[in-house]
Amino acid sequence: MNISPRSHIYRLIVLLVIVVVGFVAVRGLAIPSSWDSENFYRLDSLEELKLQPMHLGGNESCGGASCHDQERVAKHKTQLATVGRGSHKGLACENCHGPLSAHVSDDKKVASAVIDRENKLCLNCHAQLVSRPKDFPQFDTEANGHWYFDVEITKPCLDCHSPHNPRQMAAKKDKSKKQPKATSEQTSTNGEVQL
Amino acid sequence: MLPNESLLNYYFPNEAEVHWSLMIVIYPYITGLVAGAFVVSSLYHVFQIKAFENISRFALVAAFCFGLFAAVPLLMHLGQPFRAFNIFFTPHTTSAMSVFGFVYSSYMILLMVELWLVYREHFIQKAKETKGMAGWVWKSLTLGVTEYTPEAARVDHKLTTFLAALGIPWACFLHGYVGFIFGSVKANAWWATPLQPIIFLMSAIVSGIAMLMLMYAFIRWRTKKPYDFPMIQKLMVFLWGFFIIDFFLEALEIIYVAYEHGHHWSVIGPLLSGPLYGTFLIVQLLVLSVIPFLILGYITIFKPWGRLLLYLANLASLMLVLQVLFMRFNVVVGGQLISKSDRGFTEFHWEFFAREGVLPAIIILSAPFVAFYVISRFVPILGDAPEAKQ
Amino acid sequence: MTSPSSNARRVFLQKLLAGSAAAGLFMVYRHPVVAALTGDDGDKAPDHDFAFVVDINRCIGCGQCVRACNVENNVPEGQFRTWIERYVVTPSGVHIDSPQGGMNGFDEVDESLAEEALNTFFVPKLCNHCAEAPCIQVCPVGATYRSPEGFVLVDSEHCIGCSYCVQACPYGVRFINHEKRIADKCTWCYHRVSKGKLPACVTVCPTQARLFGDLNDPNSAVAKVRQADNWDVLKPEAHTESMCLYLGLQRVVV
Repeated sequence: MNISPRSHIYRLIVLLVIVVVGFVAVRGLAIPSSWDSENFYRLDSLEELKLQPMHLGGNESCGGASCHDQERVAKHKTQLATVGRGSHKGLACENCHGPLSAHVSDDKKVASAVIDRENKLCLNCHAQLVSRPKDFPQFDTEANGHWYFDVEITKPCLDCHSPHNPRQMAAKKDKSKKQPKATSEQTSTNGEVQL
Repeated sequence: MLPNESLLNYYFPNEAEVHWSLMIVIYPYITGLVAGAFVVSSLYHVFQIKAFENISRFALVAAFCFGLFAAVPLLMHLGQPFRAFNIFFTPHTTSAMSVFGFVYSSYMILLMVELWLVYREHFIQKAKETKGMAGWVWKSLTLGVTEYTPEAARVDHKLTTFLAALGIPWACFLHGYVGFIFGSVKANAWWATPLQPIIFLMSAIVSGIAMLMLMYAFIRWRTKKPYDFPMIQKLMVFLWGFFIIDFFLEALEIIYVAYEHGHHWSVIGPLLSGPLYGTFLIVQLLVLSVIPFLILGYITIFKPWGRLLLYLANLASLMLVLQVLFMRFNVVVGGQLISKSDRGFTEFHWEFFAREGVLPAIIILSAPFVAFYVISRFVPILGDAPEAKQ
Repeated sequence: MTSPSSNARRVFLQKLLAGSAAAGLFMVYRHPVVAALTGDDGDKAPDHDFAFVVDINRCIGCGQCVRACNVENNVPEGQFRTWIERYVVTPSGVHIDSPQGGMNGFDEVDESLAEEALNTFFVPKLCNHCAEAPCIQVCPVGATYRSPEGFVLVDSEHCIGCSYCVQACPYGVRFINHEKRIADKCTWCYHRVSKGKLPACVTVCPTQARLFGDLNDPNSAVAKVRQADNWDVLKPEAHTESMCLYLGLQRVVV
């Protein structure tokens, strides 16, 4: 038998070609079907990301055409109107009352919204910090008539201030209830968008 | 001392964790051993350094054994190891890391083909001698060509030389790209230098030669065979040469950054006088570099012989093997200690049993030696074994 | 801005680089192009080009944004898609802290520090959704990308969790999610914006220190900020083309 001195090399090459072809075939099958080779990502992942559930509804999910602007919850409607006038009108309801998802699920109320009357909630924004912008209202025993009533930081803020319209003192709160006028302009700060 | 007039050690909240830990330290280390060991075998095959004839096969087998485990630390590190093949399926060509799959696998193929050519005669012989299952295994290794003719031997020799030559740029590519992975990260002042690939390559060669020396001495000692002193002498000369380049580049990088006194120095200065003072300045640059440098210089210039040469060569090699391991640690972990806030350092937490802890690192680092032992049961490795000479 | 010809040259250079990288790999072949979903068909410009504005002069450090983000995105404890830093600049140096990412607000600094302070303020941080994002460049598998509308996103089904993107981000906004073991970061609440809502942090910010909108809409607040041209970006020397515009950014902020 006269065997070529290169026959083992040819066999090795065949083996390597099989490996390479096998790899290319497996790779062809393994690339995700929606792969965009131009921009190099899986297009389906955009759709998957859109499916992430939302927890915060934004104020438009509270007032506006939503639950709390309806007659059956007249009290809430009044309070929305109060917020709409006061210095807290830019705030998100969920900042104090908890995320929408903990309150409503599948258009059904699952739990009452949080009502937190602790000073800590107010001081979270209004405690005096040297790093806060100077024009931002911060608790001060010397200012805003606090000195007159000897108000200490331990005294409940809500004894005097309405959380929905803090410049309006609690004593006057009843009067404000009599003039409900829904102006929920605090839905969103910027234009909404559709992707 | 904190960088950039910081009064309080500050790092970004997500930096509390060092994301690339011990597994990414030993990954370039093992890859470097592959490249380094391969270079020694090429010194004989390509550059005709006759002194290394008897260890050229040994170097190839050692390179192969390290290569077998080079990817293991990566798999241990990945958050999603089962998706590791994505790096082959959708390699993002703008990423240095995506090249890994192709460079590594092509390098392993090259290494295996060269080993196969070198051991073909042995495979054929075994296939003829052995019966049963083992015989079939030997036979499949011959790819069915069971004659070893002088013509075929000449073809093999030519191809081996070609592959050994090709292996040198390929080893540079393999290890240069590892350095590129770090050197191209502009967000990290300690990594971002164009010298990084060449520092990685040089330290890889140093660690590979030093590790071969240690393995050679250990095997000779265990098998009670005589030592090849001219080979050891020559190997140490090469080790000295590569280490001078390696050390010079490592020092150059620091000197450059310090002298420029720019943005990078504002964080690297405090890094070197703080968290890396011990492991980098004292251990890596002072103890584990200066002493082996002097020893190797002594070996090269004064040419000691016998026991003294053996002890000195082993001492220097052991220190250099550790020097490169420390270098990998100081680069990989050290760079991540710098907060990207430029105002402080995060801390590296040593873990022992965790997935990326010390124990898995030790196991992975010892695995190539186990593989080497197993392979040495089946094929002759060191050149002066009876069947080795052609 | 770049002239058309220099742009063409840049594209050519990019193609050349990509081509040589591809040649280095021994078998890269093109997968058939799948038609893109939105606003990405050929030369047509995308419909939206989103940007984020952070107004440091308005931030009060209440931590609402951090809490809202954690709730909205189930961010694991100890990891942050957004956080607030407090800077206190004194003659002897700068003091920065961010206790738990500012999640629970801030306690007052030491009296001595407060007295020394020359300048002090809060800086909210989040992903900059860079147009030239280093994280996208280094991702080895194409698991992070920039959507046609300008969101830098992570494909949670494709990510291998190698953390290279974490290393490459100059802003420290990326992390490996402890629970999912993949790269994670701020998405500008892509899921909310796609339903016409604002990102959670923008929704809850009581002082409008965070604004989000479309640069293609000339009436949007962000387009006006961009137009006014008094904004800065973090680490401009990183040349990442950050899409988070900061108002009132001080020199000391990194």
